[in-house]
Parts: sequence; structure tokens; C-alpha cells
Amino acid sequence: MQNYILPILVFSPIIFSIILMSPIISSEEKVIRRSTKTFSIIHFIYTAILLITFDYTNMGNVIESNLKIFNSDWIESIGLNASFSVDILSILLIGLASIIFLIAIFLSKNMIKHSYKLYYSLILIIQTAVLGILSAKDLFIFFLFWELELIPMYIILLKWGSGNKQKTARKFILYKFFGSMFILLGLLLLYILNFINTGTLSDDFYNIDISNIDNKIKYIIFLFFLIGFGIKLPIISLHSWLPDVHSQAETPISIILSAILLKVGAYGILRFNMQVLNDIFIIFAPLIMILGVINIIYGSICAINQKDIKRIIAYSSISAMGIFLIAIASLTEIGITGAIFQLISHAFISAGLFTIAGIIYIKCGTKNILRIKGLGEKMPILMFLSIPIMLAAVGVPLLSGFIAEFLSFIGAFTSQVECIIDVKILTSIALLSLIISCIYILKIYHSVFFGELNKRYNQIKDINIHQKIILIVLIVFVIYLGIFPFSITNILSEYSIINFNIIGGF
Amino acid sequence: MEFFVNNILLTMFFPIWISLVIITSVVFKISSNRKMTLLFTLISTFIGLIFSLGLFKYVRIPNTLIIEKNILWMPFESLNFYIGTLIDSTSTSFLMILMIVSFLIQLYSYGYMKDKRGFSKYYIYLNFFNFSMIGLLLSTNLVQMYIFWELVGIASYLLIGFYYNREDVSKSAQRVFIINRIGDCALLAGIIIFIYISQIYLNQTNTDILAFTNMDDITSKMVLSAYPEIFNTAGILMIIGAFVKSAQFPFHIWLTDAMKAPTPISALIHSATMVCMGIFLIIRIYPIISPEIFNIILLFGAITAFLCAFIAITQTNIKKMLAYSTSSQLGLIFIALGLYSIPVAIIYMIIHAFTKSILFLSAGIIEKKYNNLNINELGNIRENNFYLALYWLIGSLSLSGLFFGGFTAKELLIKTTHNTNCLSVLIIILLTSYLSTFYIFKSYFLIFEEKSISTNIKVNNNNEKSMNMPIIALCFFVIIPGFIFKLSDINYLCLISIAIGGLAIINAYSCYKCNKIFIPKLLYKLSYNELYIPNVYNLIESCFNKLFKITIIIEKYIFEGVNIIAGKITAKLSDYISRIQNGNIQNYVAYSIFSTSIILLSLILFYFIILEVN
Amino acid sequence: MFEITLYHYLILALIIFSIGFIGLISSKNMIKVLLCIEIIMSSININFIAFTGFKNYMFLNGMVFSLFIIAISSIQTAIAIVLVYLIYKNKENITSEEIEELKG
Repeated sequence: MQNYILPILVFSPIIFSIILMSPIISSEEKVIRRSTKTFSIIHFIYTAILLITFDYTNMGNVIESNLKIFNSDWIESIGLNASFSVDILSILLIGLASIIFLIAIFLSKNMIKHSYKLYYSLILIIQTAVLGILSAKDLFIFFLFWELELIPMYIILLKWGSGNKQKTARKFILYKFFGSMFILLGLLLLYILNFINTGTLSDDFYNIDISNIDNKIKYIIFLFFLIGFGIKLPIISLHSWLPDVHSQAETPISIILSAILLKVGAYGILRFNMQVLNDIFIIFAPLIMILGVINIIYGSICAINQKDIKRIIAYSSISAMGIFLIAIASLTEIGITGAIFQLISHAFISAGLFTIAGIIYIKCGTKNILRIKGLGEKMPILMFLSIPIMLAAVGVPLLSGFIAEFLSFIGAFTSQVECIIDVKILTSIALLSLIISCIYILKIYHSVFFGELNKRYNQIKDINIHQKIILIVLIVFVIYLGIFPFSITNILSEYSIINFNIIGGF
Repeated sequence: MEFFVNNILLTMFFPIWISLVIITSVVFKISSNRKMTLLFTLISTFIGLIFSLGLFKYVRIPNTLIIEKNILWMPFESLNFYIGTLIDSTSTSFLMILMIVSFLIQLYSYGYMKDKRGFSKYYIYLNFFNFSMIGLLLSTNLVQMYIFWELVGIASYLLIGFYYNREDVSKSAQRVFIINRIGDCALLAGIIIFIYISQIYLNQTNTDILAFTNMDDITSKMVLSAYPEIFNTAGILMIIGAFVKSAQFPFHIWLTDAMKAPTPISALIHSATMVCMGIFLIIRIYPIISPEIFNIILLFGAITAFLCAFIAITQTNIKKMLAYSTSSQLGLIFIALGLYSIPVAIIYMIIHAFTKSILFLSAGIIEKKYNNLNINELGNIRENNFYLALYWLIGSLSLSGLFFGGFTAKELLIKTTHNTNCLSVLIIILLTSYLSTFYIFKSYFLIFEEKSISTNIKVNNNNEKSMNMPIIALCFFVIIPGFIFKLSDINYLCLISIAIGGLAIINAYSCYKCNKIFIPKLLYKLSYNELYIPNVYNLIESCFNKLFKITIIIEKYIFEGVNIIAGKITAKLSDYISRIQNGNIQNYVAYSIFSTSIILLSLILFYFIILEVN
Repeated sequence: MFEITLYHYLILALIIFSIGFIGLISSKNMIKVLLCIEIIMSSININFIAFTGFKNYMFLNGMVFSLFIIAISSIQTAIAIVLVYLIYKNKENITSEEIEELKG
């Protein structure tokens, strides 16, 4: 039975999506939506049971599943297995993914107006892809699921978008393929080097042994992985697909993209750059720290200039991922805990921000904040519920954003990585992001809700119970993580000491 | 007594629980009763009041008894974060003031907000403010203090943006938030530097380095270490945080923006409680501040006290004048702190809290009755509102330090300054008290006494009991400390200050009679435009806006440009290469045979020459 | 006198091949192209028969294969002439420069 836990988790969405596309389920919107919601809830309960019964004291791989096809491994002669495994980092991100997909499917109620079957089945395929990436134990299974999510995203961007859909979708897929090319090169090099070093063909990346290889090749592999994953978690200069995609996609897709897919890129960096290649991470840590600081400052400054709500939130995601980068480059226990905590907390915060932006877009028909004014008159409850999410994005204590930023900054400041520009000066520059982030977040909040009501919005009604519950769920998560972070930081601090190469000090 | 100590956290949880109850009733549109809201809020504050009174008796001044309880919040291997409660004389005295003022202002708000929209929202924010303030006063270590420090700032921002329909309120709220944020950022930077220093110099002892009770140990160790510069940097950054929160020069600008809040909030947050947090911080981190930094505190306190009083003499809006007056009085409290005398600072702060609240609450009644806050347009109010004039008079006498509680406080301050032999500071204190007396009595005469040109239209005539009771209570609290003063302590400085006060009153009366102020035109202009500091802030803001527009250019031409160039290169390249395929079969045949022969030739060459086979 | 060795036959085949090849790539008339293909075929025949003649008397693989080539090339030429005829019917001329429908 142990053998089938993870494959059921990973493959059930795609099986359900095939059922959905077949004529078994009728083409009425209500039936499609309700059946997808039911499936999502069942899947979420399954994931929740896995999360609750997980053994959090075991720091290695806890659940391992080896999928045998007709009683043999996949391609045994070259060592490819279809094996899945989860450990603590993976299971936390899998739980996060399930919650976010559930919220996205619930939120699609009024936002999608045509081709429901195609839409829901594509979202389920993306869910399979994400769960597969997070639980892969095998180099090529990892790559298979990595590539699997590109085509559904492309189709969704083309069919349900606004604005210049074709150019944006084309830019998205070209950038992603460019990144996948580098990742494939890196994976192949790892596979071949493992073979040269140990003489056995195996692509289990937890057990790769490339210790006797010359360092120069390892540098090249590291850079390949950094570029490939850096397109996903946008590192500035590889990021220009992100603002366009976010501003033109529908809200549930923006939520999935920003809350899950960026984190999957971060997961890739954590696994490949930090665990597999951990002895040369120290050499590149200064570079990653400088990239992180550029991310933070450039992302925040770009966000101030924008006029489209979703673009502002997209740039704030870039900024948040910059905090992740400086935290992991610090190589301290507090820093790495803060980095992983930032992944989880930022997912909820950006989901909340995009939900609010989506509701405003549906009610007002425009995303330009210069034209929307004074909605506080008509939608006081939305204004009230958006306060915790706005404050969490800024980094106010007792909400989860503060814990993540606080731990990351302490970790980065007290790190012992040697850099050209001193680590302390870099962190001090990054601290300015606290001030700059509140400028643009307040700009959104005040332009939309404050002021005199624009006459054309006289007919708007307040948000319904459905959307209220989604926002309240997100707020509860944000507040819970802010007040009781020890439930996660306890586990993560032990995990980071054992699995990552911490150098000295705090 | 043990009951109070063990259950002190109840005082924190009652407000937040009531806040949540009101929130659910608002969000899910369950109808709410205004009287019940008020009652629950008052009950929670009253419970807090009883707790703080009980603890005050328990702890007694001077601080001989300190009780601390901690729970582990986030354990890491190298650094543990705790949350707990620290009960000593400082925190209990601040707590008592907070509870009294909070209770009275919550009662007053019922009458003030009775006919306005957003009643429930107002009480949610008020309860939230209560909760965060109590959390701040009971905090045991720097991190917990920082958490509640920011939360109090958020509560103040939410209340400033209360009237969301108005455009100027929106801009002011944004500005207040950003300036507060700058201070918080400085405080956070100071805390992080402090953690870093402790890592280097304490070498893994098991003490919690951030706790206030451990700070004496830390100082002695750090003084013996050889790097005081980093230590001083941390101290200066934390002091900047305190300055921003307590509206000292040059960060006092947010206090005038904060006057867009409803008047009871100005009384509660921006004169009595939140702006005293800077003082609280300095008292708590007292052991780790070096003497140079105390000189900086003294300097900035003196500058603020004088300059803000100077600006306040020409202001015509009552609330703006009272805002600058608050800044100025806080400057005097910082002078007291800079002279190492904490008890004097606490006493002055307590009396100032009560005095300013009386003035603000009376201004609230004037605003409700006449809908106008301009001194030049009001006048002759004393005829119909004798008690209002009485309250204002009591407040003025106390603020100027001539009578009642203010007299006691000011005398203590002057005596302390005299004992440390700082002549310049003494002169500044006397000048400030002259200016304070001048502007507050000018406002009294211009508002309440008869004027030839007075355009006041009475809006409503009801004398709310709930608005008058708190002011009466506050008046008692102000009058009583005035009689503690003993006659044997009068010395010549005391007489000089009374004389200065009398001179200022005569000056104010003459200004009222002639209806203009007798200072040179240049100084008048400087003072009326608030030393042009708002213009400086606007200039800095526009400079930054222009600077940030650089990234638009970078985004558009560099990053998008890379995409466009890549696309164009690919298109050109494919254009060239596709010319090979010209549809002419003979060309294809020629190409294929040509390339095959080259491959074969190279294979033969490879075989014969490189492998050296004959 | 010098002997006529294998190499003479191979060079002859090469010369005939190159004549045919140059004619193939540079003639404008499709019929000429077909004729040049025949020339190339005959040079290949010479090549095979030369190898059979000089190297191996017992195995006649080369000659058998050249018989195959003669037979199949005639079939191929027949089909090619039909295709050229169809092109002529559609386009009224058979200059190779005008047949560019598959241009990239």
C-alpha cells in the first residue's frame, strides 16, 4: 500500500480531468463546476490526512513510492525509475498547493465565461504537474512533470485572457522553454557525471555522488540550474514574462501562477542548487545574495510606477522572491527557515491580493487604478477584509509576512558568507524595501477605496458570501501563521540544519 | 495580588475578543446595537483599569519588584524568541494612564460618534488600539516591543483614514503611514544590529540577549569590548525610531497630518498614549545607550520644544496648534530624559496626557457645536458655554505651567535642569514656556471672549452628558496634583517662571485686543508656513518620484529590448537560411552531392592521415 | 606500353559521371536532365563491371547488379518522362527555372 500513496496523490487530478473531458459529465456549467469542486475537496482531504499523519521527526525521505509498471521498473537498462518520495519540505509545499488549487477552483465561479470543460481539465493537469514536481525522486520524472505544465498554461493564456493575448502567451512559452533547455542540460550532465564517477546508471537525485569530479564542470551545472530555475522564480533580467502574463490572465490563473508556480522554481533551487550541489553553493552564495538584493529593490521601484493593479502585484511578487534569495544565500539556520517560511506565507498573501484585484476587475471592468475611485462607499466589506491582506503584504507583525521578512533579514545580516560588498551593507539596502513596499501597496488601497465615488460605479453591489468566505479563509491562514509560527519554524529549523550546508554562527 | 499577576494577559485578550465580535457582526451584516458595543468596550477597559490599579499597589515606586514571565515563541538553535509579560513600576504606571485615558475617551466617543456613520468600525479600531498598546507596555524583550510598536502605528493609521470619502484624508493617511514606517525600519535595523553584536561578543551564553532585564549584564560586557561604533550605531537607529514615533524634529510633520482623524482619536492616540511610546522605548533601553546618545536626545528635545512652540503661535486651526503644542511638550520630556532623570519625565508625561486630553476634548465639543475650528472665525463662546470656557481655562493654566498639575511638573523640570547646571537648556525651557503660555491663552481669548467680528453659526445645541463627564473627570485629575507642591520648595527660578507666564498672558491679551501679533514680518511668515518643512518633504517626495521613473526606461528599453532584438535576429536569420530552399531541384541535387562528397573526403582523410593507416 | 589497370576504368567512370553531373545541374530543359541521369547511370555501370572484371572472376555480383540497374533505370526513365509530360501539359513549358512551386 505504501507503494500507491503518492501515485494516487499525483495522478488522480489528471485521471479526473480525462473523465471530465469525456461525455460522461454533461456540458452544463453547474454540473462541471460542482463535480470539479467535489473532486478538489476530496483531494484536499486526502492531502490533509497525509499532512496530519506525517512523521515530522524524520528528516529524510518519509514516504517513498516506487511505481512499477507491469512489475518492472520503467526503463531499467539506463536506470530510470518511476519513483516518488516526499520529505518535510515537499509535504509542506504539497499541502500549500492543494489549498491554493482549491481556492482557485472555487474562485473560478464567475470569472470564466466559456469552455468550462477545457478550463477545469487544464487546471487539473497543472495540478498534477505541480504535485509531480514536488514529489519526484527521479531526475527524469522531475523533468517530465516540469515540462507538463507548460502547454496547459499556454492554452489557458490564449483562450481566456485579455489584451494582447498572443504576444504574451508566446513570450511566456518561449521563456519557459529556454529555461527548460538549461535544466535538461544540467540534468543530463548530472546523470552522466554520476555514471562516470560511480559506474552505475541511476538517476535518483538524492543519491547522486559526484564528489570526485573536477569543480569546473560543477560550476557549469550550477549556472545552468540557476538560469533555468531563475526564469521560473523570476530573477531580474529573466523576468519580463511575469508582469504581462499576470496582467492579462484571468484571476484564478494569476493565483495559481503566483502562489504555486513561482514556489516550484524556488523548490528547484532548494533541491538542486542547495542539496545536490551543496559544496559549491558557498562559492556562488555572494552572487545569489546580490541578485536577491537587486530583485528586492528593482521589483519594488518598478511597482511604484505602474498603473495596472495586477502589474503592481506582479512586481511585488518579484520583490518577495528577492527576500527568499537573500535568505537562502545567507546559509544560516534562521535564514533558511525564513526563506521557506516566506514561500508559504507569500503564497497566501499573493493569493489574497489577486483575489481582491480580480473582484475589483469584475465589478468595475477596468484595472487602471487612475480610473477607479471611491469604492469604499459601495463595498465597505471588501475594503475591510482587504486590510489584513494589504498589511500582510507590507510586513506588519502578527501577520505572516513579518515573520518571514524578519527571520530572513536576521539570517542575512548575521551570515558569514564573504562577499565583495559586505553582507551587512546589502541587508541594509534590502531593509529599504520595507519602506518602498508600503508606498505601492498603499497606493493600490487608497486609489481604489478612498475618495469620491466615480459616478459610473453607482450600481455596484458588495461582494457575495462566496467571495467573503474565500477571503476569510486566506486571512485566517495569514493570521495563524503570524501568531503561531512555531508550528512550522520548529520543524523547518531542524530540517535546515540537517539538510543544508550551514556555515557557522546564527 | 497573585491573581492579578497571573492573569495579566486577560487585559490583553478582552479587547481583541470584543473586537472580533464586532468584526463578525459587521462582516456578516448582523445588526448591532450601539449601546451594547459601548458597554462591552467600557467593561474591557474597566477590567484593565482594575488590573493595573492592583498591580500598581503591588509594585510600588521606586522599582524594587520586577516580575517577568516568558513563553517560548520561536526556538532556534542559536537564538530564541520569547513572548511574555514584564511587570515593574514603569509599565504599571504607563498602563494606569492608558487605562484611565482610554476609558474616558471611549465614553466621550459615544457622544461624539453618535450621529456619524461607521460607529462599529470605530470601536473595532479602538479596541484593537487598546490591545496593541497593552501588549507594548507589557513586553519583555525588544522583538515583542517591536511587534506591538508597529501594531500601534497601524491602529493609528486606520483611525486617521477613518473618513474615507475625503481626498485629503487619503493623502494624509498615506503620508502618516510612510513616515511611521521609516521610523519602524530604523528601529528594526537597530534591533538587528544589536542581535549581530551580541552574537560576536557574548559567545554563546544562555541568556536571552533581547530581554530588557538582561540589559545591565550586556552593557558591562560590551563596554569592555573594543568596538563602540557599531554599538552606537544600533543605539542611534533605535533613537531615531523613538523620535519618529514621538514626533520630534524633523519628523514632526506626521502629527499635523494625523489631525484628520476624529477628535477623540487625536486626544487618545496623538497626545496621550501613542506619542509616549518613544519615551517608553528610551526608558526600557536605558542601559544600552551611551552618553553621546543622551546628548543627542537632549539636543533634539530642545530644538523640537522651541521650534514647535514657535510655529504654534501663528496657527489658526485649533487642532493644528494643539498638534504642534504636543510636539513641543514632548520635546520638554525628551530634555528631561536627556538629563538622566526618568521620574521627572514620567510625571511630566502623565500630567501632559491629562491636560492635552482636556484641550482636545473641548475642541471636539466646539467642533460639534459650531462646525468650525478656525480661531479667527470663532468668538464670544463664553456667553452660552460657561463650562466649556472653564474647561479650556483649566487646561490652559495647566499647559502653561502656571497652576494646577502643570505647575508641579514644570517646577520639577526646571529644578532638575538647574541641578545639572545646563544654562542653555534652562533658557530654552523658559522660552518655550513663554511661547506656550502665549499661544494657549491667545487661543482662549480669541475663542471665548467677545470679538467684534465673529461669525459663528450654531449647529446644534445639545449638551451631551457623555461628552461632558469625561472632561470633568480629567479636570479633577489635573487639579489634584497641583496641591502636592510644598511651599518650602519655592526658589527664585520658580518666581521667574511665574513672572514669565504672567508677561505672556498680558501679551496674549493685547494681541486679542488689537487682533494681530507683534512679531517681525519675516518671523511671522516663517512661523505661519511651519518653517517650510512640509515644502521640503514635498520636494523630497517629487525627487524620489522622478528618480523612480528611471526604471520605466530600463524596463522598456533594456529588458523588452532584449526580447525584441532576439525576435528580430531570429527572423533575419531564418530569412537568410530559407533562401537555400528556392524550389529548384537541380540546386538541391547539387547541394546534396556536394555535401556527401565533402563528408566522404573528410572520412577518408581522417582514416588515412589522422589514424596513420597506410 | 603501360597496362590498362583498374584505375583507368575508374577514372573513365569518374569523367563520365562528372559530365553527366554538370549537365544535370546546369541544363534548362527537363529532357536534358533526364538524359544526363542516363549518362550517370551508365558511368555507374562501368564502375561495377570494372570491379567485377579486375577483382573477382568467380563472383559475378557486379555484373548482375549492373543488369538490375539497366532494367530499373529504364522503368524510372519511363515514369520520369510521363511526369515531365504532365508538367508540360499544366505549364506549357519545361524550363527548370520556372518550376519553383516548392519554394521555402
